[in-house]
This record gives sequence, structure tokens and C-alpha cells, in this order.
Amino acid sequence: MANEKDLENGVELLRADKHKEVVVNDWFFVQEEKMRILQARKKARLECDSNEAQAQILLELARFVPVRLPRGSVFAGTQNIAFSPSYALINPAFKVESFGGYCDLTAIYDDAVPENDLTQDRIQKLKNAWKRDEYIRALAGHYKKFQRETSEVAFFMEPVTGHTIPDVRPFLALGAEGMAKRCPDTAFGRAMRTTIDAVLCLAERYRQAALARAKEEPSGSEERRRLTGMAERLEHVPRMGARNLAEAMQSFLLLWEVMVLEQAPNPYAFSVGNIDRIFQPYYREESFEEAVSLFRHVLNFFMVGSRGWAISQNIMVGGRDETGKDLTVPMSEVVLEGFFRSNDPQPALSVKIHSGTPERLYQSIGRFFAAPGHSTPSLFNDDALFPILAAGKVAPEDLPDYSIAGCQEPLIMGKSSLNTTNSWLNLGKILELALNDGKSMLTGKRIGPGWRELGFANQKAAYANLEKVFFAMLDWFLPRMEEAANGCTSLLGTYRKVPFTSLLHDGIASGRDMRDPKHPGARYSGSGCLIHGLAVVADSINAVRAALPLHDAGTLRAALCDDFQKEPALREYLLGLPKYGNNCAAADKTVCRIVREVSKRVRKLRNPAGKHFLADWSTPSTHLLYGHWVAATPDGRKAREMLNYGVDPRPEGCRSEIWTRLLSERKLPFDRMNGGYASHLGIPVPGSGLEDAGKFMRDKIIRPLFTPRSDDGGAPFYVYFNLDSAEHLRKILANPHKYVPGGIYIMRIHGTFVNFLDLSPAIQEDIIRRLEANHL
Amino acid sequence: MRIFASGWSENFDGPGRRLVFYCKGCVLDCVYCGNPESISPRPEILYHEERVRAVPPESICSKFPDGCRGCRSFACVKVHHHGAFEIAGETLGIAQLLRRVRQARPFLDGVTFGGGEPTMQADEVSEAVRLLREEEKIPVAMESNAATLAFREFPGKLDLLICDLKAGTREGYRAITRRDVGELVFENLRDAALRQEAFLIRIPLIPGYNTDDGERRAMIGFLRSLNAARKGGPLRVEVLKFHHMGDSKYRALGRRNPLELVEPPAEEFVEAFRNDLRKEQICVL
Repeated sequence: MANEKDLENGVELLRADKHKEVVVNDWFFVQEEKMRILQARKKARLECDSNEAQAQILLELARFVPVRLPRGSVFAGTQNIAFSPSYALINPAFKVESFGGYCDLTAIYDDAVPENDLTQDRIQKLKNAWKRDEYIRALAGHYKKFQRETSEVAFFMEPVTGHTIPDVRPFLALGAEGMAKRCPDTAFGRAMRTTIDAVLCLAERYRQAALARAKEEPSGSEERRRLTGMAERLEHVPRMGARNLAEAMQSFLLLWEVMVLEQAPNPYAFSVGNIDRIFQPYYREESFEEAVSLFRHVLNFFMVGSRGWAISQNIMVGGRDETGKDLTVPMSEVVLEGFFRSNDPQPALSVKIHSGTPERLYQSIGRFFAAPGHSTPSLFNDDALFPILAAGKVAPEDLPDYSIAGCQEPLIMGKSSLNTTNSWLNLGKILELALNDGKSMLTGKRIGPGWRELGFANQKAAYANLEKVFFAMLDWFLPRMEEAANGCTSLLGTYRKVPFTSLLHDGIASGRDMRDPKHPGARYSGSGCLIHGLAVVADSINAVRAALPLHDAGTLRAALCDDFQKEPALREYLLGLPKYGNNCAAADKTVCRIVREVSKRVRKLRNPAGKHFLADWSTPSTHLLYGHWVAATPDGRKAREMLNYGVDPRPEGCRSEIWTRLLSERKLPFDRMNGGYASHLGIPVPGSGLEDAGKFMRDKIIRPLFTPRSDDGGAPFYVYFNLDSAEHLRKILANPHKYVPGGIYIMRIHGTFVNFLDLSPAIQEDIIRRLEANHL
Repeated sequence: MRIFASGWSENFDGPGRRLVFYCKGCVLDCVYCGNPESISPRPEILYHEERVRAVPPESICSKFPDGCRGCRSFACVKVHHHGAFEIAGETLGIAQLLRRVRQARPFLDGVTFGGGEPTMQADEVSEAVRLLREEEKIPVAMESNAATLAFREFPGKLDLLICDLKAGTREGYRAITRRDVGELVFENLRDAALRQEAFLIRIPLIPGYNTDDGERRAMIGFLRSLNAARKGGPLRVEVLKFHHMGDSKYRALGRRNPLELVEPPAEEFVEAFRNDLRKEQICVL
């Protein structure tokens, strides 16, 4: 084992290297090789889509993937082989109006950067080859079928890769050999065994590389010690069960590399779950400092390129068991310390809170909140989430293993395949169509049914019954969304089987692929539906109700179609009407009703396996993107402006202090949000010291926020923070070199950390506006 | 209970995060008042000219502007939702108040009644204080000018009493408050100092009114005697500076702040006064 200094120096070398890593092309070479393998198989008349075929392809890729050991490495493993620099929102050049969805799976090839022998021609050639891939062609055809609904984003759908939480614990304990012995002697079992071979193959390649590199280093040098240590560990793991923390971490990273390789390119939001509990059994002999340094090496693995292109990788600590016993362990502190020291854009940190969360954990997370520009954990409320999960038929013994996939979607580690971002519902657009006889106010295109088709005689009747028209319109779209989303699920499950990821998702017990569309191997399955525009729709319905005695339907409709250009006075009137977020009973009641009704309707949808769709009231920056496709709305919002974020009010509608806003939000029926929801608090940095910050957050924010309500509607179970001031962020943007000399200023967008300086201007502005609105 | 506003404050109107009910109606008419809409017990319209955008006020109400003062329909707010108008004045039943407090319970450390002058509505405020403290177990503070007879109902029944000391002499009080309440206030404060455990006196320093040597000496002398007689913990005093935060509200009410042209006192001056108080063994915050 390298000593503490070797470990710490190593991680700083790696991080410095990572921060300079602008060109990320390894993913391209992997996809090129994968295409070569597929073409060779087709030539040899071998099928490509079964679990066995996918496992074979994975094994061949493991033999191919670039094996790099940058200076400072203690562990072998990388995610660069799987992620392209494509995630739009962390690209400063990205413009909201240019967003075209992620429906073209070959668009990522435009993100490969020509260098050396990677020419533009070579990139284009591969892109064209993938365009001919059966799955991609089938998916393109499927998208075309729903073009009318998706062109202006009444809804959107996607095949969901990533977005799950593997359970690596059995593998860490048993090792590859132990796992292989447990695989059943079936076709699927053999496929899983082949994928285990892929892990071993990769491990051996890394071991050889480490030995070769070590020989090149001066005897007695730090680098040589690190590489020799790595090679020694790789002799034992992942073949055998891990014996100490370093071995467990090494084994973990290789499993992760193979998992992302299997689903490459861009399997976003693979998440870890309670990493403290995963590593705790192996944290025995190591000193605290040694453990922290080792963990920082693990953290570095999650960074792809300088911007952290593998987004939404969620890591958790803390929590309770099903009896209420706190499960914080010594490793929890190691994880928090590692995060605090590294402060990189990826992965994202979440902390599980409950009524018995120890004082020490609050103190430990306090420091994150006392440091502007530092990552701040998002918080989950176990006491509120357990009943919601239990109502969704999660077994009591599985509750403590709930974890967050990506930003805020709760899954059970190793047992859930919830297809979380499968469908995206734009209530704002549905409302627009309800207000305009089924036609877009932006383009005039017919997208939905007209009023008569929905049972409303004319404009007057439609406006007088707007809420009913809205739900009728929604009822027309939902089956189409279900079909569109299920098509993606079926295509993905048919063409992109995942025997290795399935192995880490109870595959040995189920004997089936976790993505099997009809009979998914994971114990818990479903499909997610992210619902956008809650506050906009509710405030608009209230606004039309209030406005009709004074303004006729024709005037209202004309003003909306015209984006209030000829009716600024009407807009001002609409803006002045009571809005959600100000603890106004009538406005808040409508919001609650919309949540209940929409959630109920979404839950009635079924995926190909007959499982429920899950109502997820979160908008991972898509409130900007989808807002761009929504015309002016009766709440006074202008055309193409962003929708509200998650379950929060629009900043323009919230005229009250933050506590009053939270009183509004607390009325929401959180128990209906079984797919999750999003809420953001922008607050100033609290307290005058690190301990003060923990105490402030505990007593003034977290406990009040997570206090159960007296009725049975559940309690808030998730929140994330940006601790800063709008004024300060504007200064940073104006003069980044002065205010952020290190070039990294971590903020949160939705559930993921980002470097504020890397964001697109629209997202930067969104963060600032919400901070302005939510001042204390 | 008549209030002109409610809102949140942090460590100013009592310890921690407070839900504050600002009672409407005041016995005084202080020259420096920062909440001029608090003085009249009746609901009033505030018209913020700077908030007018696309809708001229006369287009929604023919009575604007002269009819606004006597208007009781408040259609500008209740019907037209015009952003430039604001109603100051709401009647809140005790049950309604309790509901609001219960709803906000997770976020608050206590409730404070301020004003205006809460003791002008002593019956309602007293009952609300009792229910909040005894049944809801919520700490309650009150901010008072101590210029009513009803004030005496409250010392000893609050978790914190905050009172103004606006001047050290009867004449000083008359000049500032435009009422002859000095003796009543001194008597009430003496009584409160004896009976109220957590007791804070606030002195607003108003240039030209209570900043001359005579008024300052008188205030110090009074506080010295209060401190000497005090039982139940040290007397705490906070010195505040006159400010102009209420100017826009005067304009919105169609009035001028009488002290519009008066500058706030210099920080050195305020600090010197604080030091004078400290020399008297008074706990100055």
C-alpha cells in the first residue's frame, strides 16, 4: 500500500490533469470498435441482440478499450470510454432555442473533436454507420411517428440508459469467481458469466499496464509505489472478495467501468446509493486520512473531462433503517470529508436525513453550506420517503436501500429498473392547446384535438371551463405519450440488453435482463414521467377564472396569441392576480388539485410490463427548454419564457418571503409524487462559522422543512440549495478571474453539481433569478 | 384584530425567526414613524406611483386620485389587482390568527405583536397571547410604545416585551409623538421593569428631537433608575438610528415624511450614546 502522502499527492496530480482535460474522445474509439464488432458479427451471421451476444460484445470491448493510467493513479478505471462532451446545459455555447431533444442518438458524433488521426471524415463515417444500426433506425422511425406531439414538446420520450443504482455489495464480497459460481446455467446465466469475464479481462489489462509502467518509474519513487500497489491489488480483486478498503474501491471502480461500457455512449445518472454503507465493511485498518485520500481517488473516477460530462451521478450518505435506527457509519464521515476536499463538479452528493440523524452528521454537512462556490449536498427526508415507497409496494427490508438515481428519483439499490426519464409531460403546452382549440399559438399548427372534439361548443364555453378542457386535452395526450414512451422502452429492451448491469440488479435471482420489456428482471419496475409547468398551469387556470368577468374569452385568447403585445395592460392585470407561492389559499388549492389529478392520470398509464408510470414533478432545467415551446400563458408569463421549476412557483409570481413560499409548498400532496419532485432553495450563506452553518441548516431550514404535516398528505422529502446571492453571482460572471481565480465555482442545477462558469448563459440566469426571488 | 401587515423577521422582533403581526392603529403620531400606514385604525390604500406600468390608475377608477383616501371599496386591489395599489388593513379573528400560526409552526421560533400599537386592541391581543403561550406553547413577544393604560395588562404575561423610550422628558415626548403621554409612558415602563422578566427597551435616536444633551441625560437618568429598580434580570437597551425606510410609504399615502430632510445620526454619535449607557451598567445590545 502506498502511504498517505503518496495517495494524497496522487489524487492532486490526477485532479490537475483532469482539470486540463478538454478533449474527450475515448468514447468515440469505443463506439468505433463496437461498430466494427457488430459488423464482423453480422458478416459471420451471428446475431447481435441477445443477452449472450451483448455479453460477447462487452467482452470484446473489454479487450479493446484504451487502458490509461494517468500519473498519480492509485486505482485502475475510467469512465472516459463511455461519455462524450454532449450534455447541452454545461456548454456555454448552448442556446435554449437550439435544443432539439435527444432523439437523434447519432448527434453525439458531432461532439467528437478531430485530432491526430481522428479526422472529420472518420467521425462522419462512423456516424453514418451508426445511422444504419437497426436500433437507431427503429428509434428514429418511432420518433417520427410522434413528431406532431414532440415538435413543440407537448410531451417527449426517450429510451433510458443509465439512471439506475447497481448493488455492487455481493460482487465486492464474493469477487468475480464467487459471483460466477452463483450464475445459473441458463443462457442468461452464461451471458452474465461472460460479462464477469469482461471485468476480469479489463482488470488483467490494467494490472499488466501498471506493472509495465512501474518498471519505467525510478525505483523508490512515489509513482512506482502507487503503480506497484495497484498491480498487487489487481492480482486479488476483482477476482476474489475484497479484504480491505483499497481493494473494495478498486473492485468497485472496475465494475463501474464495465457497467458504463455496456451502456455507452452516455449512460447518464448511474448512481451509487449509500456509498458509506457499501465501503464500511472494508474500512477496518486504514487511518481516517488514508481512507479519505483513497475515497478522493474514487471521486476522481467519476469526473469525465474538465467539465464532468458524466452528469447526475448521485452518491449518498446517512439515513435510517426500517425501524428508525440511524445507519450513519464512520465511512460516512470519510465520504463527506473527501467531497469537501475535492469539490469537483461530479459526482453529486446527497444526504439522507431523518428524525434521529446524529448531531455529528449535521455538523459535518454544515461546512458545505458555509462555503460559497462549494458543493452542497441535496437532502432527502427518510421519514417522509419510507411511507411513500412502502405505498408503492417496496418491501420493508428494502426501504433502507432506497437511493437516488440521478437527481432526485428514488429507487431501490440493485432492485429497481424504473426507467425514470422515459416520458416528459409539458403541462404548459397542453394548457396552450386547451386555450387555442388544439392549435399551437406559436406556429398555428394543429397539435391536439379541437374544443368541439373534446365536448366544448365554442371558445366561450372552453374558457369558462378551462380546467375541464385542460384535463380533457391531457386525457387525449396521455395515451399517446404512453405509447410513445413504451415504444422507446420496448426498442431499448429489445436491442440493447444489459446482462452485466442486470447481474448487479438481482439478475442472479431473477434470471432475466433488467430491461426485458415484458418481464423485467428487476424486482421493482415502472416508467417515469417528468411533469412540467405545475405553477404556470394552476395560476393560469385561476387567472382565467378571475379575468372572465372583466375580459371576454376572445380578448384573452387574442392577447395570448399576440404575446400581450397589444394588451400590456391585460398582462399587468394577469400578473397581479393571486399566485401560488404566496400562501394564498385559493391559489394553492388549485395547485394541489392539479398535482392530485395529473398524478392520478399518470399513474394509470402502464409500461410494457404492465407496471405503473410514476409521477415525477421535477424539471431538470427542462423548464427552460420546454418553456421555450410554450406561448404566453394567462398567468402573465410571456411566450417562450421558462416554466416554473419543479414544484416551485415562478420567481415572477412569488412576491413573498421564502418562508411564506414554503408554507404554500408544504400544502402539496407529496404522497402523490411517487416518482419524485424537485424544489430549490436559494439562500444566503448562513452563520459565521462552520458549526454555526450546520446548526442553522438543521434548526432553521432542514427540520422545519421536513416536519411532517398534520394531515396525511405526506411531507416534503427532497430539497437542494444554492447558497449565494444574485449580486455575487453577477459579479462572478462579470469578472470570473477576479472572483473565481481557480476557475471552479460549484452550484447546483437540479440534482447535479456543475461548475457555474461552465453553464450556458440561460441556465446561469435561471439560477440568479431564482436566487433573487428566494432571498431571506 | 386589525393588522396592517404580517411577515417574518429574524432576530429583530424577538429571538430567532418570528412571525410578526403588525397591529393597525396607534395612539401616537410620531414625527419619525417608519410605518405611517400603521397609525390610523382604519384600512387605507397605498398608491405606489413608481409601480405603475401599463395600466394608468385613472383607467381603472374614476375616483383616482382624490377619492382614494375615503375609498372603502378597494376595487383597485380586489377587482383590478393593480400592482401599484396596496391595502393596509385586514381584520383577523383569533381563530384565523391561530390557524396562520399553526400552519407556520415548523418555521417559527415565536410570534410577535407589533404595530401600530398592539395594546390599543388589548382584549384581542391579550387573548391571542394567552392562547399562543398556553395552548400552542409558542413564545410570544410584544412591541409597544407603552403609551396606553391597557399596556399594564401585559407585563409578566409575555416571553419578551420590547418597548420604546422615545424621550427622557414629558416635553420631549410631546414633541416627538405629538401627544402628551410622557408621564404615562415613564410610569408604564417602571411598572414593566418590575414585572416583566425579559424586557428590552429601544431608543430611536432622532436628530433634533432627542439627541440634545438634555434629552440624552434625561433618558440615561431614567434608565438608571429603571435598572436600579429592576428585578428579574438586567435591563437591556438597544439604540436605533432614525432612518428613511418609511419615506416611500408616506408618499404612497399621499403624505410627506415630516422628517424627510433630516439625516440619520452619525454612527459615532450613536456609539457614544451607547457607551454612556454602558457606563451606567446598562446592558446595551
